[in-house]
Amino acid sequence: MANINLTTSGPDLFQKKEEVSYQTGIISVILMAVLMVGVYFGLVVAKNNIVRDIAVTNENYNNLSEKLSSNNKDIVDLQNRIAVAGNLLKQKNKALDGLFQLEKKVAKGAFIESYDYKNGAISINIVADNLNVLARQILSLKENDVFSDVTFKSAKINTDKKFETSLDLKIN
Amino acid sequence: MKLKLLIVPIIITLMGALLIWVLWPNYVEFQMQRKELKKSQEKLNDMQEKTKKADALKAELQGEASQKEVLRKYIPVTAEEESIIENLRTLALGEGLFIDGVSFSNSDKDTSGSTDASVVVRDAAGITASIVENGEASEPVQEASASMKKEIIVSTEVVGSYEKIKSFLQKLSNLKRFNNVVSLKISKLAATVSAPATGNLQADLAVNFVYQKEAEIVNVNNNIFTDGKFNTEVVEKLKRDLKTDVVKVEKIETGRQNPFTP
Repeated sequence: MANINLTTSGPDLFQKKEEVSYQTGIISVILMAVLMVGVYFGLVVAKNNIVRDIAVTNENYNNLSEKLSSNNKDIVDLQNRIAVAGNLLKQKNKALDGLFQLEKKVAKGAFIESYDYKNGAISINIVADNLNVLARQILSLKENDVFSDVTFKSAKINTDKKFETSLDLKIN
Repeated sequence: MKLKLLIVPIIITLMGALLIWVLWPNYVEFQMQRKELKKSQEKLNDMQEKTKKADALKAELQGEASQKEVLRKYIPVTAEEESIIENLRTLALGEGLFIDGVSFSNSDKDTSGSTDASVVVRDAAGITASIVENGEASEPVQEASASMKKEIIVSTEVVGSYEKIKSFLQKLSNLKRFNNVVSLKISKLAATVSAPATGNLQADLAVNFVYQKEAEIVNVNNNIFTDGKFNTEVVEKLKRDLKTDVVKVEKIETGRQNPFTP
């Protein structure tokens, strides 16, 4: 009976396979480590480049900013004046408006003795021929949209036998 | 053989540690720096844009010098009290009105406690003007420019007929320098023994004038560098609405041997 050895190559093949897979594992791990070190140095270089770029950009920004602020005073001055003038133009000349409105509202048979404007408030002394004219004069002022808060204080006869009164108004 | 088996897990563990404590923090820092660079570049681009607009505005300003002139007339750089006196005198003279006096004071709004300066001047026509200047107004206006605006109140008395006073006030309100009547009192001129009643009126008025110092500090964040254009409507309105020219004060011959002789 012939002997056939079937077991001699078994352990060798298994050992070889194990060796190959171990070496593959080692190589893969080393490659990964190399890759990680490579990535690390890549990051360091990239970071240095970015820091340099930031410094250059900031320097350019500062130079431009300095140039802008030192060479353009006249532009800002003009802009400031435009802004202030725009606000001033909105102001009403109420002292004159009140006077011109009163011109239109003084009744026949009455006249203004004095006109006093301050801070949007007007105080006038009116002289009327009689109480009827005076009453209609007050009504005329009260019905005007330009004036508000028409306040009558008192009326008395003056030396010319006319009724003199003082009125307080507010100009809108 | 056992050590051989442990090498791979040890290296993997070391790599994990390297990844967590070295690589990842570096990567995070790198990302932050990239963001910072992007922000810096955006700021630089913005500044470059502003510089371009500023150059264009400067060219526009040189071409349109009248804009600057109109605005500097409307809001002068200094109080120019002499100009106010001369313009009041010219307007009153033009209407045949008599000016009884002129006085200057700081506006009620200017209440910041800075040093006052007081000057008394007398002009050829005998008008006495006491000039009191105060510190800058503390109005709550957003623009820094507005805080540079100063106000002065000029009080004067004019005597004449109603029509003349009215015309004087109208022309004054159309003066190419800003002014606003803050108080006005018109009453009949009291008759005296030497001056009988003529029907003339006396107007006591207080007029607000403003001036603004030149801009000294330029804020690069000023809107003008972003907008890149002036609001020309304001200047057009000034040109259109204000018709009374500002009279320039002429220089007078000076030099007296005895300055105390009349």
